[in-house]
Amino acid sequence: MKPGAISLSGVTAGYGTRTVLNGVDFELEEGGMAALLGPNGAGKSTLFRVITGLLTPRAGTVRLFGRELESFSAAERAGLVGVVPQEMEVPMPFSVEAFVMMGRTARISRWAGASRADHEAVERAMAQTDVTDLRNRSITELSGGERQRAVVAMALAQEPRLILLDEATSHLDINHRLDIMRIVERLNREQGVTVLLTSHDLNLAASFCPCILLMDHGRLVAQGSPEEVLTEARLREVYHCDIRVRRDPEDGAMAFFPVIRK
Amino acid sequence: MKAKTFWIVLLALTPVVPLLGLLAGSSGLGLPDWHTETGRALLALRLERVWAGLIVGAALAAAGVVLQALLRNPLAEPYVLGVSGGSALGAAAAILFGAAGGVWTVPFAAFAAGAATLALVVRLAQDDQGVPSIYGLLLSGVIVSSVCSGLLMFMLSIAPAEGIHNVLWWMLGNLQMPSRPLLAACSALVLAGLAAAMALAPEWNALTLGSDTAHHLGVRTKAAVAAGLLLATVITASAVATAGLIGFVGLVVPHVVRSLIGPDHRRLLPGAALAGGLFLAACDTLARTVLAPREIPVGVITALVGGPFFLWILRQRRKAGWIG
Repeated sequence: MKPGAISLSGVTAGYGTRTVLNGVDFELEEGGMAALLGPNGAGKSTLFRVITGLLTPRAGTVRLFGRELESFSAAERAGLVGVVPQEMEVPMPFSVEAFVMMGRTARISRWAGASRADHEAVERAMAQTDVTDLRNRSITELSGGERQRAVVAMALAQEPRLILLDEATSHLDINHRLDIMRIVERLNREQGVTVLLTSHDLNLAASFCPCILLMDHGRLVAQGSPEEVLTEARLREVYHCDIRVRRDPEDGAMAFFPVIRK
Repeated sequence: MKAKTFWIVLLALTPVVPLLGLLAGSSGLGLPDWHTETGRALLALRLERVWAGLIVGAALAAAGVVLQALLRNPLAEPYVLGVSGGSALGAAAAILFGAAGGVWTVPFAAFAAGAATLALVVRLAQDDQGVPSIYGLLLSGVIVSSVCSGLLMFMLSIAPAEGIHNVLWWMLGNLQMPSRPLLAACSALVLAGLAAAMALAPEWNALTLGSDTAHHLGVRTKAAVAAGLLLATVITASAVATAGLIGFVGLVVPHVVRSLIGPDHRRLLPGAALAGGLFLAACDTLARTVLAPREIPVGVITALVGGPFFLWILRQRRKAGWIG
């Protein structure tokens, strides 16, 4: 069997004396596109920190593409995993092109500078995210949607086999959310890049991700297709409020409505 | 102004500023007579001062660039982590109580106390995983500096008047080198530190995006941050040990150069180092000549002349800078 892009077994992790993840096991196959859902404090961000090597688990093992995470050098890891955070604060006025080029940090030659392969990867990444026309603009003066596309471009310039999006669309308007999700979906379909994203937007997650992972209290409570995982009963249990699950009459997509007044 | 213009102007000034420094002095304008003993001594003295200005200015500007990137804070400068407070305390103690030592006593005391202060600041700022946080560093830097300056005030309050005068002059900064080996030692440390800092330019670029993002981009952040703090400290402490506390260069030169040529540290670091060196050498030439034969502390010139000039550039270049 082909090893999964991400496999976690018995991962327990936390900060100081606080335990956030409690024996998490899961497997995401290569080429998959999955959403990690769950209420605030469920452990989604901590799980991401474990997968990216920012946080060393107290117990359990993390494997990426069949190899133990700890055995990767920082540069090898950067060539394998790209991360798009919720909002990246860029204090200095880098041009969009220079910013995207930072995705090549681990590959670029310290002395000779950017090679042809580096420039090509940057051009491709900018084209895929539609920021080529913004290349000379300062990253600090872009709108939120443009800036997030540039951040995705930087992650793509790493030429990763796995992309993690940590609530990467939550501060964008509906149209720009779709923009980012379509870019990521195209990468997944056309280039087989594995995608794992966290989100609080159930509609978006269910429409774009064939695989849903549901977390609560530091544990994985369900994994499967949106239909299997996102049932009214389970949502009530996890989110502690009533959510109606319906279908869009036009295209049959799953739609979620919180019950505001009973 | 384009980045290219900046480099052309800077490279054109590179021979001009030192030459002016050689021609001007508190003993009068014009090249000293090469054929007399005094003339040669005078020329050597001026050469040393010009070199000291270039090295110390480059050191302060480069340390400022590195710390602004590491701390992601526009107010960061070479003295922000308490190196100045610690060095001043060490130098004052050496000046007031270490009279027996030779020319190395004060610089060594300043260097050692500056480095020890930074070690303390970093120790205080570490979290439970041993990683210093940005706000922790800034806050403990400010606190440790205040404690140092309290101790300094106490020492001055019980010191004799002459000692106070010497300490004050040291703190104002002065490029008159007490000895040539000292200048050579300072230059070697600063140049080695500059070379190492430039080799790590891609790391500084990535770290301006925060240490999590730098980690995702493949930077070994713990090692890079430690290296940056160490380099900035060695560079700053060497400069402070030889020339005292010269303010302003390390804060403003990085901002101005960044607004002119952009924040890419592969260009920003050499650009700021060269600009800082030329700026300080030029200021020192002014300090020696404006009220000749009296000398003005060079720190007064850097602030009085540099202040308005740099403010004007920064206003012109608001958008390209960090304060737009």
